[in-house]
Amino acid sequence: MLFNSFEFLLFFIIVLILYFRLPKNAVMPMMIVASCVFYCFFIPAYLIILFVVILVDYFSGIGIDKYPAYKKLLLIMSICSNLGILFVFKYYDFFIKTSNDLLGTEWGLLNVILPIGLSFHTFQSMSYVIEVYHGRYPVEKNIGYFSLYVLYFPQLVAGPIECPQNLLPQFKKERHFSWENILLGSRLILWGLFKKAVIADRISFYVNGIFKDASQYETSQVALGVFFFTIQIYCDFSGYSDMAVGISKCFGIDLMFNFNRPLLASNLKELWARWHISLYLWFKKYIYIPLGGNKKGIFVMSLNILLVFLISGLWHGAGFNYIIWGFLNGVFILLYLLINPYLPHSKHPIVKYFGILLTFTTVALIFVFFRSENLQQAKAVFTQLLHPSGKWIFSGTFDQFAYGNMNLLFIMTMIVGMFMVERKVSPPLSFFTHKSWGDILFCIGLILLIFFTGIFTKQHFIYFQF
Amino acid sequence: MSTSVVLVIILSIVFNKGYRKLYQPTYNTLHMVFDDTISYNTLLIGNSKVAFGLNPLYIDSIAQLNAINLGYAAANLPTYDLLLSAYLNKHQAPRFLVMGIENNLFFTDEDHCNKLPLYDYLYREDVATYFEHLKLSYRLQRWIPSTKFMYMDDYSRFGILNAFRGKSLFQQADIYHYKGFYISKNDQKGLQFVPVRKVDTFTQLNQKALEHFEHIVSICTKHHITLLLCFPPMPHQVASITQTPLNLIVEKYLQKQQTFHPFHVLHNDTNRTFAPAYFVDGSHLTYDGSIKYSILIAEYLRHLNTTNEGLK
Repeated sequence: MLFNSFEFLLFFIIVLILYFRLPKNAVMPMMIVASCVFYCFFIPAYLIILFVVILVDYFSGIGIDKYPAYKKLLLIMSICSNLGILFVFKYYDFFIKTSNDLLGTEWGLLNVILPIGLSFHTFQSMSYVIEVYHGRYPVEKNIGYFSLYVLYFPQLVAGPIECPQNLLPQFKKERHFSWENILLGSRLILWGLFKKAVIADRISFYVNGIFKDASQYETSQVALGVFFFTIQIYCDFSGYSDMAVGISKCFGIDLMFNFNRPLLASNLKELWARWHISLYLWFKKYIYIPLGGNKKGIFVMSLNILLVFLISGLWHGAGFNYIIWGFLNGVFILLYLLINPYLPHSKHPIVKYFGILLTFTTVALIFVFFRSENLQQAKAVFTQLLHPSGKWIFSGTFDQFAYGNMNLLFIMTMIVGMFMVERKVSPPLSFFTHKSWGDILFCIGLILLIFFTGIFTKQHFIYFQF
Repeated sequence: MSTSVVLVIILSIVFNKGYRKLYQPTYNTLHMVFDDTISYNTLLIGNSKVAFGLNPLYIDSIAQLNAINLGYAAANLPTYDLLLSAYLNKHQAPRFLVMGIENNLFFTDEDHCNKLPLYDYLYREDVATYFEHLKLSYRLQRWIPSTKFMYMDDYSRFGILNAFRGKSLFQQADIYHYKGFYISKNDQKGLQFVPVRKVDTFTQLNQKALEHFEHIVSICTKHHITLLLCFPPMPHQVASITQTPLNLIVEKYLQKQQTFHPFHVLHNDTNRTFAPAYFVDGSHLTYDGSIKYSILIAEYLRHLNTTNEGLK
């Protein structure tokens, strides 16, 4: 079930009413059932995988608590099980294909469809076991609450990846109906829906056309496609995250913000510290810092950064394009860290805006690998970019995919508008806290824009595939 | 005689129950410190300006940390010391300690603190020592808990009075609560003007308060905790008149301490003052003000977290 669908709206209203109407003891089971129903709209059979993850990690936690002597073994077993599930469903075919191509083996492929959001809930579940292992969180003895921690539908399929300290205690606190929460949550949902339906999904037609066969387009059009994809993925994922935070807010449960104006960052390091915050927090906490972080000299730090970004690339998908994407991000961050001490540190707005533009351009070019289905597609895009044809963007080819100049101008206006709003108010929960007429008009404007210009063709959120 | 004793006991039990409800956030803080075993990598310790001012949600998201607000309304330096030491007994050391401080904390040790909730924890050695160190009576309260109300201070009286007048924050229906941070979102109109503040009458630093402060700093050094001291934000008008002798004494003291122990200080200078509309009174923030303050501290922590200074 997609957040941007009518079924979800109905589902959400029913669950919300039940949440505040049912007796206290029935709320947690109801939320588990609701989350299962939500997940069943994708592939029902894959619920089994979710329950395997839940059972393995629940009993690992209990075991770690009960048998401290074996806690390391239990942690390893839990991590291996989670990564094993991830490997089978996400990476097995990739490794077999690579082996068949490079070594001439003839191993068969599994050809299974990737369970939606698998990387998200396995990482969240692993986070619990690691925290229990380190003694930072007491074992959760109630399997219901633990199941809800993994299954909680607002963040089940695309995060934010929450640690147990943030989420589990909130499930246990008193329910408290608040119009304030409902209004704040609804406004966040609106804002997320605007980014998804009005900007991301509209841009996607253009981006899809460019990446399908870049050789057919002018350099300027391909360049615009490359820039647009960065905007698209930002609006798609941050739009989803805003909606997830908003939906959860209506229940009175706070989720962390996953984005903090990343595309307005003035260097790549800043950008990744503000993009998909919960994932980078996970990598930092469980990989970067245990490996020594930046405390063991510049060489170890460089290796750690490269490793984290390589894993991050692989986390996003099983393909060389994702690995290259992760590797390039790591390399550019390292380059930035190495030359940063020699850069002029001026607070002049021109320097700042130049930094933002340079960072955006760099990240957009790296994202070419992320968007391309294979390396040939990426090569075609770069070939077009490196051989300028000199023709201007508005040269007519856009009509091929119903992209008139007016449409392009509309999108650009929306993008500029979005950045202007987010530049002022971010993270998004600081948004719309007032009840002024200006805000009410703004919300009405958003509803009208979504209603009249939103694309509702049941397009999946990009990050669902991870 | 026996009837009146029974009546007094029953009344005191009822009264204590009401009191616990009234001061629920403070009791929650004490529960998180003394009983819980959940560890966080960032502690926000302070008085009401921290408890109702710093939302861990923003700290977590912006600074990529896992913070908990252990703010205790009407707390002083000995109380901060007690909370930190007790937390470290049962939890892992955090990477960051954000401590809300104010000038007057350095000039007094026993005033300006609501001690009543702590009497309920007298069975703990460290709490008993805390009272003993402050030369406060505690033996009677240990055996007859309701006698603690005989030792009500101004803060407790003020809180109870407000509760009877229906003005208490914690009696209002729409309370926002997240990881120890509490605030009422309703009926929070910002100030149109800033009330004149009472002039502090302190003249010299309190030795006991300094001992506790230095103990906190030494704990941080021992456990490799990055300490960030934050003066609370003030309305513009108040900030412009804060260069008092009191400020200079505290600043001089902190600078001296910084030569022995590395810690960070965030002053409420002109860059960190807010418009009066962000305050419910002369020093406490509205819901919007708390977001602004939380983002400000989170941005600073993010800077520390991404440099060598903050990484453990």
